[in-house]
Amino acid sequence: MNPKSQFISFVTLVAIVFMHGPWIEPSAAQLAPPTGASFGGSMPGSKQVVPGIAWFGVLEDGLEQAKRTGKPILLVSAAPQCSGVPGMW
Amino acid sequence: MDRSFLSDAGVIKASRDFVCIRTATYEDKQEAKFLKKTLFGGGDDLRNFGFSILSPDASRKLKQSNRGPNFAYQDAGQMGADLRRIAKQYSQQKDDAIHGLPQMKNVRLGLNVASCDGLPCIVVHGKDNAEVDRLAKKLDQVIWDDDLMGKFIYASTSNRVDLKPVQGSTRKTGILVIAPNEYGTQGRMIETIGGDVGPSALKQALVKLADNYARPSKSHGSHVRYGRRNGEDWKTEVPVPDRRRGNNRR
Repeated sequence: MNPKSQFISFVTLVAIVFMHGPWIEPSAAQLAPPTGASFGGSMPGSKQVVPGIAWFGVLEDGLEQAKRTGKPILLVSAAPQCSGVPGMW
Repeated sequence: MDRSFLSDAGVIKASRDFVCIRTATYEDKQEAKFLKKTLFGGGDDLRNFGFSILSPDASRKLKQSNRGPNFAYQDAGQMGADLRRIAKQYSQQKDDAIHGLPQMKNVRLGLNVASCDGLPCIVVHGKDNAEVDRLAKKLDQVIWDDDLMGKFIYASTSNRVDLKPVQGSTRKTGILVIAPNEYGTQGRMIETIGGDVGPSALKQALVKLADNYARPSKSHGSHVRYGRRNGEDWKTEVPVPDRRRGNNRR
């Protein structure tokens, strides 16, 4: 292998390692919890009230609607307190 | 609380083909049984946050994470695509419009959740259950409009005592629009909409109230730190496992 080919092989190897190595961004599932100020809830970045997901807050009410309409259910359970302090998910 | 998936425009749009339920963990014994079985693998403990997609009769889990949707999807785009794919599998029935007041279990919880979401809280206040139902039906006619979906947190009561934490509340019944305080333990009356309001005027009033609402900014760390210092202590219906509440409280 001549020096030019060796150099190209080396650069290619470095590029492959860099692309698949520890420098790659973590997937969403690995992201740390959010920090810093927020406007909260399902529209954290907005000072204004904008359209959001319309949540049924009582399980039974939502289950009845799903049965009646035949729509699938997007279910989330969240504690409206953090370490016993209310007003924060 | 997730800040990128459930606030994504594509996910919000796709959610319109679902019945969306967000229960308050630790706040109802009956719901806790369902959540343990459906979201948290049948164990003894609840977790602060869980996520699942279920069939319309809730018998089949189509997707699940015992944490947030960010543990089930790489990003919000993937979640939106999956919601659209799932929605297509269920043929829409003739009467597929969602109705009813998507309310919290009680006023106390309504104020707290509104504070968590940074949204105004609407409390339907009637002198009895019949008046509450009548007012709730009025709201039902307008709140599922695209202009209003997801902009308020709802609760209802026929018991004036429930409104004690709300500054400016009176005996007057109607549709009360309330700004929760920082911790969601108290509120301030913004407006009372009378029970004789028509659908068009009601919708117009609510759109205006939502547009004019100033959402307060909060920081997770300082909120909890100052809350503890100020003695804010939320009592849950279902005990929170010690590991969830931290061992170094006050």
